[in-house]
Amino acid sequence: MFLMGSVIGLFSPLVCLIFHVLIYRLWRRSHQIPRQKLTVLVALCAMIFSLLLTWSITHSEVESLHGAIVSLLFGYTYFHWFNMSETARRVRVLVRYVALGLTPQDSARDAYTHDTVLNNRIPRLLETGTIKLVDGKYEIQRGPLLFATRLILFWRSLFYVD
Amino acid sequence: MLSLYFSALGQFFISLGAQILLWRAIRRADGVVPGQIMWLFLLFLAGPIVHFLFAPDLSRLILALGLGCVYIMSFPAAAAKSPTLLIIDLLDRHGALSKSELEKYLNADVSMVEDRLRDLKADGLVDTRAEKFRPSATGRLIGYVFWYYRRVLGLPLGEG
Repeated sequence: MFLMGSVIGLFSPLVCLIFHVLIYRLWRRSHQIPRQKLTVLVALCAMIFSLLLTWSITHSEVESLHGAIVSLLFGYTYFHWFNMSETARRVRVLVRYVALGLTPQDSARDAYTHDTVLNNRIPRLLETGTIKLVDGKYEIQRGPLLFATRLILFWRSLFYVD
Repeated sequence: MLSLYFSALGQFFISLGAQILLWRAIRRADGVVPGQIMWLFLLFLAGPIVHFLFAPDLSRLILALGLGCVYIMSFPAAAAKSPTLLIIDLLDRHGALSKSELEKYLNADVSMVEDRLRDLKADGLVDTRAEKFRPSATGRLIGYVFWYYRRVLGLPLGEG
């Protein structure tokens, strides 16, 4: 049941990667677009691609919808993968070691401070409209990221006691 | 179609329940769960595969793997107290804050390097026997995969 839609959806991360590489390599202005927004767009394009490809093969609305849902799951996985390459601290430590030969003792204690963390994240939070700068102070805005944060922190409390 | 989704979701929630019990059982006093990545893969990816061996249904397997991947990619952000989440949470709890006030709260909440090194060691991504920092073979592989990924996209290394 729904085998074709499932298999097409399964290949979404590969489709995302191809779209992503093509966009960055062929469209110079893409570097001016916030990277997270572009990655979401890439994942949505892969979902539409899966939907249309499943429809063109099976001519079944339900199976095409299923293909799109599976594609969305794997597209979301791709989005997180990209985010990890951007901001994950453990990944940063490993990549700096293999790419630059730097150990945390060489660089991270000096270079990776709370100031760095804020400088990297505040512009992204402003771009996505999650926070707003009012009279020199940052204010949280109601939206999906605030809801997601509350949900994740509740979820965390199931596993960890702070 | 609904039976397929109920079956995959059922599988997912069984893995989630097992994870909550396991985490509470093996969590160390400092909050670290040894082999966290391995356990996540076993529960959320190997679980559906084992289920598939007993009741072969490729569509259900792919759907369950998709749900598992979403979960595995989302969990570290919660487990490692992602700074982005902390910033949002601080602004949510304390109201409007300046950058210096945020920095002060972050100083109290997050250890930027030491906590991550501790997690890397607990996951077996760093050689714990070596005196100096040295990633294990798996740690180096992960580092190379992400490095090449950024190069393929033509982007600089992530800034953390």
